[in-house]
Amino acid sequence: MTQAQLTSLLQDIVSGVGTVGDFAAGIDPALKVPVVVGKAILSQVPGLEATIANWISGNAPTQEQQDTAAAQLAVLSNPNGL
Amino acid sequence: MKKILPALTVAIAAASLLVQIIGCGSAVNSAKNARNTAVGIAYGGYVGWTNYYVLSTNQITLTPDKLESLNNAERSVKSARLHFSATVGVADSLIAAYETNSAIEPQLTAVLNSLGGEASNILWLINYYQTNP
Repeated sequence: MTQAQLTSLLQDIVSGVGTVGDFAAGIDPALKVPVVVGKAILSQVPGLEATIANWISGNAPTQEQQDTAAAQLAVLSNPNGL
Repeated sequence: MKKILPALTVAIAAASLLVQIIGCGSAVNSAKNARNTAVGIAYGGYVGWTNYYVLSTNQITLTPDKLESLNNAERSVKSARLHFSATVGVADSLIAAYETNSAIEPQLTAVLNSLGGEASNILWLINYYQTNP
């Protein structure tokens, strides 16, 4: 799988399921799953879409994204939480 | 939530792969975005788990055995998320060091891959406990 194909794959994740027919035929079957569930993932995790878009473009994360990740990490690292 | 969790594990594995491919020019940005993506996915799974746990432990039909099972699961998930958080701390240190020393790229790539694996592990555990109560 080339970098261009992988980039397209992640763009499909960002934009939801979309039309992946011909493209999907050329990729490793194991990697089709993220495309199919892409929209579901993004609906479950607020802000993830923008983070992945940033990732594809190579941009630095925004301060807001850093703050969001820091807040999420604070919850995940809380020893007193569930 | 239950049905997409196995697929999430595949997604995070694909995401960690991306670190190595995009790496070169904007490695620090990629590393930060990879780290934030792993945190976001782990957090999403964890929020789903806490909702499930609270709802399940508040059911009127809850039996002592079921409660014990849920509490064991809760301890496993907590252990996994605390381990994940510690790895994020290591990743943050390496990302900061990488900005002035590109020689540590292999270590940075390794810890980011590990981060993907650990986020995946959290989601696997959550999925397992929700589908095998």
